[in-house]
Amino acid sequence: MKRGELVEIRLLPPLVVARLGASDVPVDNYDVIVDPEHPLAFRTIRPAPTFIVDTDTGAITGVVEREPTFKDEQNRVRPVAPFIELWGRFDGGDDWVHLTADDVDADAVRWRVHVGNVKVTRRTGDPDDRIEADTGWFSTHDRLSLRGECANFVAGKSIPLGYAQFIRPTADFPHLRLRFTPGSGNVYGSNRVTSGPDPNIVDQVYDANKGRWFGYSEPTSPIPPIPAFTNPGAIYAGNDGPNNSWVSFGYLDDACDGIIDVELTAGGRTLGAFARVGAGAPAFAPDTFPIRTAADELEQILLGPDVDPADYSVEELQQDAEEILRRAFETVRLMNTAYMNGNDPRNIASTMSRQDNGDTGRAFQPIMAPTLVDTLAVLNLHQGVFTTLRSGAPPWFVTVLREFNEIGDLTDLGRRKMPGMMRNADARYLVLTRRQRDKIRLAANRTNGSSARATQTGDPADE
Amino acid sequence: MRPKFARQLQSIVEPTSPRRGAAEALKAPGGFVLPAQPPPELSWQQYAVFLLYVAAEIEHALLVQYLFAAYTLDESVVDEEHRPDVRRWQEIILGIAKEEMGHFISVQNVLRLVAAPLNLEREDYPFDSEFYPFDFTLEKLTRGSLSKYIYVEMPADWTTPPAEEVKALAREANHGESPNRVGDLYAAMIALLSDTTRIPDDFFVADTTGMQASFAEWGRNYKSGARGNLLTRDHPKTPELIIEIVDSRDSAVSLLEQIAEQGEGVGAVHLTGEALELSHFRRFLDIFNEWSAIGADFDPSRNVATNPIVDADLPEAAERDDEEPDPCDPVTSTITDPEAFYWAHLQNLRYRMLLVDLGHAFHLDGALGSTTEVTARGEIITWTFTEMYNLRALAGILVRLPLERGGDASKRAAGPPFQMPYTLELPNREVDRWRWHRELLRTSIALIGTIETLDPPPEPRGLAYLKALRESDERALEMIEKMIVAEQTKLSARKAAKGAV
Amino acid sequence: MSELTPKNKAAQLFHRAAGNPPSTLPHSAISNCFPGLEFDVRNIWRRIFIGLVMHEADCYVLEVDRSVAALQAIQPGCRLLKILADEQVFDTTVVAFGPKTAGGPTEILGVPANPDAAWFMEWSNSLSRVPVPTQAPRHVQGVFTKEPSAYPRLASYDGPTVTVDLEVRAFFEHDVVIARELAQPGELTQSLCSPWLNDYRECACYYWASSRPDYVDIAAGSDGVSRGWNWMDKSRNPDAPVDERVYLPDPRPRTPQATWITYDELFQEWQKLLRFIIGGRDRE
Repeated sequence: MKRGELVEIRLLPPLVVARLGASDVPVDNYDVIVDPEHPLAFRTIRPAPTFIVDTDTGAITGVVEREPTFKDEQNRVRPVAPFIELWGRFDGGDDWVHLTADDVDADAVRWRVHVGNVKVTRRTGDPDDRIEADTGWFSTHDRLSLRGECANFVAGKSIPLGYAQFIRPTADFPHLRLRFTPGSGNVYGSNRVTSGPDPNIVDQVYDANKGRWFGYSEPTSPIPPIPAFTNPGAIYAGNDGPNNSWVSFGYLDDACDGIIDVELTAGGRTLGAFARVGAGAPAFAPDTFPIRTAADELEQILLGPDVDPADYSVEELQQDAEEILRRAFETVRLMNTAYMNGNDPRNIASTMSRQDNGDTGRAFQPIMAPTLVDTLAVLNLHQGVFTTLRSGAPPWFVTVLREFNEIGDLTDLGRRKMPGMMRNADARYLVLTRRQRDKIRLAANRTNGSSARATQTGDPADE
Repeated sequence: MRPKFARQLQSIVEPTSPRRGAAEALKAPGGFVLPAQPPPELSWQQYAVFLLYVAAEIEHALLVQYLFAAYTLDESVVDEEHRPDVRRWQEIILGIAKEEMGHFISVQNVLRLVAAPLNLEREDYPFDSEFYPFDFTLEKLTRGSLSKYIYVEMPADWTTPPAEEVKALAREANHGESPNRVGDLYAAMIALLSDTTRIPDDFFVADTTGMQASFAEWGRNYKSGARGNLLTRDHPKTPELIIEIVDSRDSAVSLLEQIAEQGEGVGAVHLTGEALELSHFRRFLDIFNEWSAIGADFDPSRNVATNPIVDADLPEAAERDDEEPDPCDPVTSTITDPEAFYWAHLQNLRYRMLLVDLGHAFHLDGALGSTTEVTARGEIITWTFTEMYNLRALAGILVRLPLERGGDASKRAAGPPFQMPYTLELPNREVDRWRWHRELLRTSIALIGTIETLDPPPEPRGLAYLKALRESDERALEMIEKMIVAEQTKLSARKAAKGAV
Repeated sequence: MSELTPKNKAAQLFHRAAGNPPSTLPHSAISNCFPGLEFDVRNIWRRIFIGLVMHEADCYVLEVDRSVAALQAIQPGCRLLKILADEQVFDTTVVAFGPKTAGGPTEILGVPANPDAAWFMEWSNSLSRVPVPTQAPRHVQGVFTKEPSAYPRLASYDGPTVTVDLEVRAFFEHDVVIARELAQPGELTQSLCSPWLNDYRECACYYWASSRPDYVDIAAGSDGVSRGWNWMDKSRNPDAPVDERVYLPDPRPRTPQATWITYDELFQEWQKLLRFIIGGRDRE
């Protein structure tokens, strides 16, 4: 049943994460939930509705709910192959709906998937090192290969970056969607090898006669510094070269990111939308979530660093503070905090203490008292805070949260602020987004209903 | 004060006039006078330990009273305009309480240094106020109680306004008696410990440092100094948790001086500048002044009962004394609300667990252990902190429950009792100490079960808290069970190795 | 056209499409990127100033569009020291300080590669002060070093500077998609390790233990201290008695660790060797 004129379309979600894996069958859908009877335990993975897609016809043939397996019988990782949905808004209505073949003629919809892996170009600066796959506009329901092509590849070679398939709507599954399947997680190399075939790579795609990637080198600690390099620099497979350099083996991978475009004509007008997709490493602890995520970044940009108390009830703020604490203890639960603390005076493990010393000349020392940092003790402490929050106690610890402009404080007390032992995007200690911190501050101040700005002076941190 | 304390004090305070009470003597300017001879049963060294014992008790008593006072503050009982002030006052007082905890722990360090046992005890009801600054009273924060706290921490010569007002209010809040200034006790300790003729060098046992509490372990992140000041950590006058390991006479004296400077205005020392600004005295006084500016009838704290206690059995109603209450007798308020009754017992239990954890941590070597060695001591210290968090949670729950069965919490709330356990002694063997913990945890789990199954049930937030607390206790139990087995196995193996006799 | 409320916009931004597991959501992608796992989210900031390409992890100008008149005075290599907006000044760097020797006094931590001890604050929080416009561009001013500077500089830099008008790009299109101009295909992942498997063996990756686990099969040992395995230890037996589990760190300098998965093994067989960790325990 058509609902009036379509005035706007969107692809949701606007940013989706795919994850590499060589298995033919993607991982099933699942939910990750907190067991209310065991609030401190790991979250539980529960089956969720999974679409079975016939890749030949492009149609969804059924929905199942099964215990997910993350690898198949041949020990290949199951990729995460996300769907991207086409949503629209109709004239006279405010609601967005997931469009179906009844709303829009599927033949009038066309898609384009353009992804790239430009890791090499980022280093060499050579645009001919760009690896890109572009489907061009398509409306078929075929499963299209995303062949990553590159001017500096050996003629005829490409890297498979995955697939895109416009799902064929049926009577049972009429919604309009696209499925993106990422690459297999292979490593590729160049046609210049120093001795015999290289077992690390599945194909010699890169032409070392055309491009510089094989043998490309960066000095590891140049003085004066070379800021244009990535930071951290020299993070490619390679080995030591002359003059403290790091020399590339010329390896490539099939990770990528890019843009999915959609266009349709409805009622004589052309409407367009796009979304972004990225394909990266698997999430190897799928029942656990990171402390600071791309969602936190985007939420801060979208809604601002200061939380408007009118947007959240006291209960919601309290839940958000609990969720951050939960993610903190989940992370701690998988970290050897005794090592991460820099306890080992031999300074061999990769730790922030070691980084502080190497980057800034700060004395190499444990961050917290060495006796307190066994993983179970640190876990216990965080869970203790979490437990107390659940009683409704306002988050009193907001003053120990590091602020974004305190990254330079490498004194003992500065380094002991929270989150501890972990690295921030600017190479120093982890900081929550300002919005995350503000949610906790508001939960601590319980200013539901009054102006956020007015409470700045009442911040208990400002003693 | 318990007679066993008072009799030791009395004989030295006024050697020429043995009948004069210790308390009276303390009120005199200059307070303590060290006599020519220690009392017959005590050597000078013993007497020094005794003074440290008293100091520990006073710090413990102050910190609990400040915690209670802070937990009664609640911004939701005042108008929106003043909520930020009340929140800030609460954090300030909690900060001061934390610092008193630092003093308490530091005094234990000094006790360790002089090869004396720890003193984690505290005066409980009924109470004799001879030597304590004022009657131990758990009460909601009022201008009167705040004045007592200011008085206790004030410099000896404070006269500028509102000194008179504060002193008058303090007296009124203390049954018409002036509170004692604790600074004088510290002056006496400092004088005695500095005296090389009365106290020889071998009184200080340096190799006890491994059994002391370090700032790194106990101070963690505490710093309430100025923001943005690059070199704040080096600035000697930043208020912060004072906990230090002491290994000599000089370091012990210096530590006691720092404690005195931070809170208790030491006798003749004039606090000026930064030190004054950051002292407990100043911070309490600032709250008082801000409060006065808002208005004398401003009431920022919940109506929590004074000196709440919980008996072993749940009475139908509080016993009411028909006689006029004796102003020198502590007025306790018996909790008779059925739900608050059990929460209060849980609070007492967690308070006990905190003190047991603290005591146990002091029994384990490791403050200056090798950096790669992590032991169960770290876990115990962590438990001490999580118990502090639990006290916060439980206080938050108890100030919202009524004192009396069928009562109204907004008129008279139960509050956290902080009643002392019958003992804080720990078993001698390590394996038995773990058994001791095990029993406390089992008790807690049972009590949690009781609260959960009350009818009517507690609020959802209370239940959510209990679920997590029980889970946490169960984990701790699992760990302890393993340790008991392992320790017992070791002990048995050692016995077997020695051979049957 | 009615505008979406903030809550509705967030709902769209975080929409979980039917059939998609939670690992497809931005909530599963770490953002303390150095360089990152799924994305190097820092790359979204490179073109935040119209006409400039900044370094994703530094206030350092990489490219200048010469057709933009306001940027005449800027050249690649210049450093953005401060942003001026709404009569406020936002420094882009802070100074690093701390003890150089254990127990020593607090000092400014200058080193040969960074004598001013100037540390760039990540764009994300730093620019949120401006704040970042979401719908339409806005103008601010930027104070840059007049000359290129290889060395990082503080806002208090006393060398010659130049102040120019900057146009801050609107971050979103269609309310919730990262603007096309901000990142071309490939650019969100361009500064990640190549191949990404290098990171799984490298430094800095333990910092995302929730995605790339470090310490697994953990339980309390009989002495009350945790025991477990290193996730990279291929010889581990997840069911070994607790007291026998030993965590071996990645040693520096690297010596052959017989039990650690090597780089080559990762490249060749990561799907078999790396195990998913559920409930903190080895699973498939």
